[in-house]
Amino acid sequence: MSSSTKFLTLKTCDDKKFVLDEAIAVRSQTIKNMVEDDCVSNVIPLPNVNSKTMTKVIEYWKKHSEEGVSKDVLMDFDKAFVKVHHSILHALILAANFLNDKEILDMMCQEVADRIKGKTPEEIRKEFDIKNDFTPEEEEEIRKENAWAFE
Amino acid sequence: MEIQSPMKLKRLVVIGRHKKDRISDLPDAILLHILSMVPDGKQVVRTSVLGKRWRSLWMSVPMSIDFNFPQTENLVVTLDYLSSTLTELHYCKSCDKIPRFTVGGFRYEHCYAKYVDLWVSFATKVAKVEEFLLGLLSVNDQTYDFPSYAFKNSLLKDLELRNCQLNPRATVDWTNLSSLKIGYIDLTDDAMEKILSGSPNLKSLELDNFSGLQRLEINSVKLTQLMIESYYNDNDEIWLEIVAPHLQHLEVLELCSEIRIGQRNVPSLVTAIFRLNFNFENEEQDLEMEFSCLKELLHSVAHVQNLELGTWCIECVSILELKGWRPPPSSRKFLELNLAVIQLDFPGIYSFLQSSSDLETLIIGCWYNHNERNLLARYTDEDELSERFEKHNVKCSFSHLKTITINNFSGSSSENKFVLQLVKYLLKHAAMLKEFVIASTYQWMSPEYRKMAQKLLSFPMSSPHASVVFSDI
Repeated sequence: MSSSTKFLTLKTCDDKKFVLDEAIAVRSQTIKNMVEDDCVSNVIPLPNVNSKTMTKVIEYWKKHSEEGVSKDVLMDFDKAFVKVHHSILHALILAANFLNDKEILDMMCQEVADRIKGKTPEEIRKEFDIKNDFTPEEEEEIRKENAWAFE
Repeated sequence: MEIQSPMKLKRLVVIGRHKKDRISDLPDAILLHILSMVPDGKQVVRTSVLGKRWRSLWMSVPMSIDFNFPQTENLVVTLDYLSSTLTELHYCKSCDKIPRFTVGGFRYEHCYAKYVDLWVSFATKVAKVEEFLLGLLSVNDQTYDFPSYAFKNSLLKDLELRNCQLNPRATVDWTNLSSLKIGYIDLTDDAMEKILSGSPNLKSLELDNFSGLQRLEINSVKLTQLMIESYYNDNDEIWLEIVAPHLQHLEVLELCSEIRIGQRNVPSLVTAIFRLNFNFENEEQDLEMEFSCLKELLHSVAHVQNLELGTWCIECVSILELKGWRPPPSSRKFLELNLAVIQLDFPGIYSFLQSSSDLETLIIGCWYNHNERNLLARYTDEDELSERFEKHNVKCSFSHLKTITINNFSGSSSENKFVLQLVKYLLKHAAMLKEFVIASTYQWMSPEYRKMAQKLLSFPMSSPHASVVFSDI
């Protein structure tokens, strides 16, 4: 690394601090805009992201910034990265949305879509702990309304 | 019996406590983004019963309508499918956004015109799609008459029409159309002219399996890509002439009747791909005419940077070379020649290499299983060709040739006899070569492949800096 490497300190909502190479941190468009607009003081607060989620995000950023990593290795990394409980998927989606990192956001949304794909509504509810707040009568009515899709 | 450890129990409790419907809390924009990634439209609709949060979300997800007709002549099945398309359209009225509507494999007969009318009006008036594909198959030469109102539509970007009669009675207004494909139809110069002048933003035009057209004049600066596949006419007296001063990319593919491009008709052309086979009415009598037509085509694209020729073209050029003709000199940098490997097409290859003294990249595509070729054998035999090849006085200049690729290399050593001979010759003379690529479908570790690879590697190379790359296709 050259001596000009700049480091940024990110502070998550649970008051944990992460010191990170600026070149890596600007994978977040939100952070990049802050750096470019010169409104970065010592610490960048990330009020919507907790430390557990940020650790995952930084793990991803670092892996994808490494030099000389083959496509296959990255693909395996990504595959393992998305295999997490839906609560973590949810946290990562919100974090990626706040940080404005389209790469992570798309990957996580794709994973949710993949988990929806091919499943019945009951199975989807189970997968994501979705609470069915319809009465049986209401649900029956919607099924009738869109009968063509339930054939 | 399974004994649960305290750790495991604790974890279960924690998850249980946090069990919460998080996914439904995501903002609309993100949920819609997720749903747009679910490939099956009906499944997207089915998410409406998940919970109240989901009830109407699906209506805002961009929805594609794709009708793929079952390949059958069974009337009951066809009618069933037809009626299901109407049901689907009825439901799709609730969708906010339908960017794409495709119909594939429908065997069109006039008795079904009402259904097709409905699809076209739904696509262009109700859904206002950007991409519309109407792929009709012809039964007993019946063609669908494309309705005149549909010639005015400023939202369409991508349009593909098969077996649709195009007779715009008034002016055409396809302001935003960027890509147009027309196939399996008889066209007229007048209709084509109206279509082109009504599509000022068209970038790419593809015509396949068509007839009738005699003059294709493209004057738009934006229309830079033209693909022609299987142009046919029954009359030897007429041909298709192409005039396109701003065209950059031209492909002519498959069996074609006469096509002419005057020498000054395509001055901006950068890339020409001729994987065609002229096929005039009377093969025996018209052979000479086919040759002269090909010569004219080659002259008209002598100035392009990138040229690709199919097997039939190379074979003809071989015969023409034996008759004393030479391709016009060219400054092209890229040349792709597709060879039927069972035959020695060296005369054609040589004459092209000789006329390409600035060549930087040469790709040789290998084609196996060509059984019908015997044209060259009428003019010479294998012994004579081999002899010519051995004694050939090398006039080819390879001073700029940096990359040679052998594509689709497969088969046995005996099948590749001529390819190996050609490679040996090229490696011997290409003194500036940097990379020699062999793209093959071989299994990497098969004995046949290793044998062939060793043989290729044993050829002397005149370039000291060339690397050899074996790659999968």
